[in-house]
Amino acid sequence: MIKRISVAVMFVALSIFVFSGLGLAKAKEEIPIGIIGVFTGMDTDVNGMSYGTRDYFEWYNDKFGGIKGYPIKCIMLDGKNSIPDEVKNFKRLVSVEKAVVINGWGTGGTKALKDQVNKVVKIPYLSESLAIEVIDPVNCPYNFVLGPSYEGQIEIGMVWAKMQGAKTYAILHNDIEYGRGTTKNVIKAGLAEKLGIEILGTVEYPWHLTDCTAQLLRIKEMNPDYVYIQDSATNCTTILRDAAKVGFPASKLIADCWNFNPIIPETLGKDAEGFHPIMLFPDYGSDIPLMKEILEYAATHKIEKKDQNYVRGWTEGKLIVESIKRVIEKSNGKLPETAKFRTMIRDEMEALENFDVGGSVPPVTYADHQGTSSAMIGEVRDGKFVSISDWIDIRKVREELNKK
Amino acid sequence: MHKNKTVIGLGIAVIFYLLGPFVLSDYMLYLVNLAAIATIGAVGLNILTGYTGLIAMANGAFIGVGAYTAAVLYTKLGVPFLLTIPIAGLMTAVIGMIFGIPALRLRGFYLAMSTLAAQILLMFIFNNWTSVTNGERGIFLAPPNLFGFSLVGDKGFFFLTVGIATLGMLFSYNLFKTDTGRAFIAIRDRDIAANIIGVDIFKYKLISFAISSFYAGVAGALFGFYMTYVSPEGFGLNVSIDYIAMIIVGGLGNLWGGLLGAIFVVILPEFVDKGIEIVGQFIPMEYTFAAFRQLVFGLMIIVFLVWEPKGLAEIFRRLFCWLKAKIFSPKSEMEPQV
Repeated sequence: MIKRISVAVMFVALSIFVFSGLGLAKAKEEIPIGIIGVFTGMDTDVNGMSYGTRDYFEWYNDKFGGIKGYPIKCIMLDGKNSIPDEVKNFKRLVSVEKAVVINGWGTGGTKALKDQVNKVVKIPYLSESLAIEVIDPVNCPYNFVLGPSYEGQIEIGMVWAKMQGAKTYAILHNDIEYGRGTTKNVIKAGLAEKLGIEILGTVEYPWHLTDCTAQLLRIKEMNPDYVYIQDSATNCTTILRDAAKVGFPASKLIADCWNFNPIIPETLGKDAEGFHPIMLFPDYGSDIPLMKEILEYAATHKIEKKDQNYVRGWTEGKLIVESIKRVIEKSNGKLPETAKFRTMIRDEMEALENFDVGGSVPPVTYADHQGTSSAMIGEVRDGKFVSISDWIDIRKVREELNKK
Repeated sequence: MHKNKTVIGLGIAVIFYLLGPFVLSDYMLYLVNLAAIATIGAVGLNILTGYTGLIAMANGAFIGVGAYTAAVLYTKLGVPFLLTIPIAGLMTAVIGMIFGIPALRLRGFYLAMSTLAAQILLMFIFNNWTSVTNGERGIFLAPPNLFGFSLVGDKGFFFLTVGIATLGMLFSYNLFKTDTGRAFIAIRDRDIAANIIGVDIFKYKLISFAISSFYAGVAGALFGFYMTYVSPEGFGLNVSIDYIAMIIVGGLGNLWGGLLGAIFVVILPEFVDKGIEIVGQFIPMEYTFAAFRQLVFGLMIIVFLVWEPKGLAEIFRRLFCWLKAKIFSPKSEMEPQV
């Protein structure tokens, strides 16, 4: 009986040992960084962001032996684009892995973690979400994003349309907050009037879109110079398909950054020709200095996703590493204690000014926790995306228009 | 002897309850809290599906009703935190009863479809009744205070979620000692026969929907406060399916089924993840293998459906019987002392 009880006790102890994470031997003097990505379920088509960040850390470790001699320990977890899973991963990263900075994922998870990130744990959290609610250096001092908000992207589309001589504009959006709320915010901000563009109307369609013919016929009747689609790739594919059906040219359609997605030209072929997605980052393989680093890494490693999202992830990795490097320099080459380390990384991230990331975005100034408010306009040409504009900095445009 | 074992069992439970928050990491506490919240919802669904025989595909949305009710009461109307939980339960019970009305005429597949419609309808409301729900942007909840003690972390919530889950199980245990509980079982086993012996089928089906939805509402309120954020994406059809999986894996029509199923669904992915991580240290495994977890999860459900339809509760019962026979059998008691 004693033998059986001993076996049972050993089994329980082993389970706790393995389950609590103690089983994974923790090397001394590493810098633990967490990534919450999406590797199952919806959104996996854009998970190149997480791979890009992870690969940057690996490249940096290989090339420089870690940050100031301290190897980066990257812990990449699957948040499944679900709030409970993202929160669960966050808890593991902060309490078990002792991560000092987290590269997070979606809007829901980022919002749910707002208090934990800013008030409880106080850990820098650079998320992929562009939700305007967490871009707030005062109330969300530990939240960072990279790129203009959805509202800013609609406005960038407008500015570009104006550059093309447009006088009229329409917005096609879904019936959930992502579409409806964002559109309302843009109209309320009144940038169109300042630009001298008339918004002929906004047309709403159901979130689970299967056919957009009726809405596109209404748009066709309005006859705007350009139409902005506030939605992501799945619905946009349906809209482009139906636009071709009703004879509305794809070249008059602009859409947000999630439509810079190879799925669109691959699925639609010639119906996507001329379509304009917002480009927050250049495509994989673009002629920018940052790409040289990626290609150096790619020579010896497999790249999971060769797309703009990967470039984005690589860029975010650079920002994280630069902030940590500055912290270690300030700490005389030593790693501070975890809580202090987290706060110092936040401070150094916020202090980044005109930091050159290698051309994937304009030089980053992170005082606003957004890093950049610029984007380019893309176009589908011969089934591939090409950039057809320079960076349009919406903050500068707003400031200039307000001066007038 | 039996009394002694009960006392020992209770003692272990009380020690776990009192010491758990101080010995477990935040990550472990988070898993326990999620499992406790899921237990409340699963025990409730088991009352409806396992004990009354009514299939419901809207548990995710009912949990959402509870979460939104609590969030609106707390943030917009300033109702004290502790009061919002039972009110959320009651509100969800009312909604559950409304959607339970078709149960009078529908059974099996048809009832499942009608509750699926409820899931879709409620999701539409969460997304589009923006003046109340704030649409997809959701509602932020400040961490609540309980008797001056801020429930901001996992420790405070541990006492609340585990405590309420225990109360929920106790209520469920006692429910099936009453006429109402027995009426549920009679309806599940043969509703026509139950009607002939005088059971008011419609009334008891509605009561079953109400009780089950009350549990879902309480689970939803706790979930909302724990996440400090309520948005439609937390209450989709996948959540309803998870809950059905919990009671199937745990054991339909078994008090422990809800608890074991909830623990299984919350904890299993962690074990699979850990397994992949440990194996990944020796054999390079890319994150494309993340789908392996879903595969294991799906396979386990099929295994239970085929080989053990009575679920984990039955496996544990047999295991305890076997252990009891091995450890406390007269033979082992009569073994000579060395």
